[in-house]
Amino acid sequence: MNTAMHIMSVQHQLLLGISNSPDMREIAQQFLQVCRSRLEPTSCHIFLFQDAGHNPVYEQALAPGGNLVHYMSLPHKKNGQPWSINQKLATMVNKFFHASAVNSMIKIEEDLYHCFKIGHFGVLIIDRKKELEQPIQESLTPVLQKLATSCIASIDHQKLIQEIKTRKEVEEKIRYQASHDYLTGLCNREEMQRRLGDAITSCEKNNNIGGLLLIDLMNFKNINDLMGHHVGDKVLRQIAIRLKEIVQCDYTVARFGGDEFIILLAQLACDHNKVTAMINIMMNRVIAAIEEPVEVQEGTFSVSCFIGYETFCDNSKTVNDIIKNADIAMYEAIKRGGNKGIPYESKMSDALNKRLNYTAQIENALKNNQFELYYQPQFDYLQHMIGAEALLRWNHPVYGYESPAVYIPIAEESELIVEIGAFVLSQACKEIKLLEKMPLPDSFQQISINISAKQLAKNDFADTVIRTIEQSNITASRLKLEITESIMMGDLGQSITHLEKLYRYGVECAIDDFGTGYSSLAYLKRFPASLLKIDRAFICDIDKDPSNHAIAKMIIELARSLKMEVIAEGVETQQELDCLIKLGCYQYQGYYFSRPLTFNKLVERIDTSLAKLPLLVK
Amino acid sequence: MPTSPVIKFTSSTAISALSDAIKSATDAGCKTILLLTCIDNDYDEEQINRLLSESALPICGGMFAQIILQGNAYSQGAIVLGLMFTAEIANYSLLSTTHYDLPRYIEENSKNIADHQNFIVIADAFYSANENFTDQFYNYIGSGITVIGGGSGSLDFIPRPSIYCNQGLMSDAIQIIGIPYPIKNAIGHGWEILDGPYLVTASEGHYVHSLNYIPTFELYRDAIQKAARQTLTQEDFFTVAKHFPLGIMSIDGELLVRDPIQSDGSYLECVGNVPVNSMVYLLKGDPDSMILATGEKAQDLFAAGQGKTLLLFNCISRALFMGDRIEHELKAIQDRFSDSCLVGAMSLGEIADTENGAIRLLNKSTVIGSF
Repeated sequence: MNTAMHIMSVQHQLLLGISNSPDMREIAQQFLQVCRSRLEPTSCHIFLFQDAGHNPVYEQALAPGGNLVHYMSLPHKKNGQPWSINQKLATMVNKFFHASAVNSMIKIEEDLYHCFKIGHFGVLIIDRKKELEQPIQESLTPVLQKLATSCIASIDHQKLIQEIKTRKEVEEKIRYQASHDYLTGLCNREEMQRRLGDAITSCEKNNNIGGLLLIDLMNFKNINDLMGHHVGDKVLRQIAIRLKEIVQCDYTVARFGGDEFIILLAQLACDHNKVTAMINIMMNRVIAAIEEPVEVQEGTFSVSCFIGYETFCDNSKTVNDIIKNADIAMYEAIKRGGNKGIPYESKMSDALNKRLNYTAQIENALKNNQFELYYQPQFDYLQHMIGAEALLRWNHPVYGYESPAVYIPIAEESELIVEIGAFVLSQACKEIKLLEKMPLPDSFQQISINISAKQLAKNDFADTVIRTIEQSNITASRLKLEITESIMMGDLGQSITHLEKLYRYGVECAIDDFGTGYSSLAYLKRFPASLLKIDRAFICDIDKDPSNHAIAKMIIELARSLKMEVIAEGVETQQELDCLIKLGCYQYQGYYFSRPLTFNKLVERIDTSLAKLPLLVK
Repeated sequence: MPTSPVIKFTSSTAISALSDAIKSATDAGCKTILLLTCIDNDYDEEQINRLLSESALPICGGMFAQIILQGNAYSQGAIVLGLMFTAEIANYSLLSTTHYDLPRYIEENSKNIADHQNFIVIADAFYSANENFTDQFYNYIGSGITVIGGGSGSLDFIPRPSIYCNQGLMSDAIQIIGIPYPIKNAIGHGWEILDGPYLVTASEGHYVHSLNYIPTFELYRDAIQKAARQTLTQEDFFTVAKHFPLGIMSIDGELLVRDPIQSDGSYLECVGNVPVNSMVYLLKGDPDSMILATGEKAQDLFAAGQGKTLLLFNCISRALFMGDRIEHELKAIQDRFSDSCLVGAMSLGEIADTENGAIRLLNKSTVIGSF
């Protein structure tokens, strides 16, 4: 018996059953509960259009194709099976959804499924044993319209919430990426500097001491060079993980640069001795963690490290000061090579300042022609002068003659070494020109000059040498270039190209300090060198030291088999000379024969040797 | 197919008699004990709890206003129904006193009956949210089930522990017994429309505050006066109201009876929820028609296939309404089932699944189950 009032009461209660909640699940749950209560179904269901994340949507439902997905059922199961996986129901619902009717009744076995469309994006199903009377079905039209409106409002609300959440996540991600290193996930330089600033303030406020450790990895560059950056990145990531494990949440770890890390230890203690002890413990743990071999898919790799650290307790030192000091200490540790972790001391800055000052002085020396070339003559076993090696000398206006061992490494840290090399080339060519104007013994062949790695790396190196030779108007074969063996460990392609071009032009090349580098014999074969210079380390006491004897012998035989000449450096005694002759080395350089001479002294020496051999004058 | 149960009856109120009956049923080889006892037995709680905890078999059941055996109702005594199969029993206790997530509670405590489709439900009639529980249970267990059951407790409306389990007596609880065999059921009440319809314009759960925007008691009283020429006062409310229940009209034209049990002169409190916006009618009953209707339902059930166990939950208020004639109704049921012994209880409210499948709390109704 469904009087108008009854129908209206059902409709009214269903309308009231549509929640104003922004939560779609709540709307569906409450509505289905009311349906259960007033329409007395066996079960009732809602199917909705959903996105890949199972969120109800409505705009996408306007596009053709696409199916509704089960959203909610009351009760949840039938005969123990969840409605959510009932394929028969899903198929029936979607068939109805794609048809044009807004409501329909479908009989399946003993059940009557009353289907009603919810807008253009959903279906409500009322499953009963008895048919819902037509007036009741009709009365649901405004109910479903209101339900659709509420659903759309809820979906829009959820979308907005999701957009806000997504935006926040993106902002957070950007914030994170701006302050973290992409490769390792550690804080980046900027974030570390910011945290260091905070730590300084905290230490001053709380009257305690903090520390900053700067860690530089050793042997890491080889991994990148030999295995590729992708392998190097894996190693870095593992090291970063190890450092994080040591530090945990107490302190901050940052990747400061390529293979450099920083550990910030804020607010350690109030007592300096205690702080030092704590830092030493931390450094030992860091060193142990880094030196443990790193296993990646491509192999097992070993790196080591040096650490410099600085402490702070107030704002007398700025962020940059602290980092700089730790950096200086780290470089000092590398230089000393002993203790792997050392604290900063102010005298390190003095040394560095001196170094920086030196650089300026080198520049000045170049400008003011304070450099000159000395020549150490080279002899054969008959004591005939066969050539000379040009050696750079700097007559410092204050310090006098500075050892090249002091300023050459400084110059190599910058482009100054290239300028120095250009001076040596130019000056040597000028002085070769002067030599060519005078009588020379037949045995005298070339003047050798040393070439730095940075010079050789220049794209126009070969052209520069050729141009200088031509400008000096000398015979190309009078100039020989000496390349140290260690250069051969770098990028050889361009170097070989330069040297081959110069060889074709007439300029020969020698490999200096042979035996001290890690060159590959395959590379040696490719190099257009005509001379191997045995390093002085293997000549010293060669007559007494079996190891040196064996190494020198091997180098001599190697040169012979490669059809290269060989010369021994640093010959200082007769015994050494005799031994070398026995081994088959017939060219020599060293104090036994002559110390390095000024150009004028060299000329005198040549004149003297010519005077002894008048028939051999060219 | 289940074998016939062992039925032991004692008219004694002594726990020893109950104990003997349980032992006898156990010795006969039954696997589950369903107890139907009278509240007026007034068992000592400690003794009964000891008896229950010592049982080697699963125990379920309840205390009711009266118990039924064959065509007779008893105000004292006990029936031990020894089922020859193992029933799975799920007990849900302390329902009123704890704030919890009811759906999750039901899910966590229903694992042993989750695969069953046929249930006997015994609910403490004084737990006020029985209907919410059965709704949530239906949501969990799903459609395709069959349910029979009733409310345990006393007519004096004093809440007391009235549900049996192996841990002792429970109150504020619901017990659901999973039966591993199909239950066929038949539900009837026989009440007819006297007046109405009225729109429930204000209500809260069991409390009906207004009908057609008029205080319920006022409209109810006037309707009875007009339709049945019977006066109604607050003092004689229970005596008169038992003859004039309300009926909520379903969408299919079926009446869900609601028994008014008390009033403050404005609202009516019923046994069961009366939702706002529902249409209600004032009902009347005629014992002869009601007995006839019950007999027809029993006949329908018999025709559907006779089981070995015949279990009845009949509303105690039908007994209050019919008086001695209630036994005619009981006989009308028993007479249809010559091979089965009718056992059951006069309960405070009945529980069964409707034609459409959902579980409903009924009033003043008859629920017969056969399995």
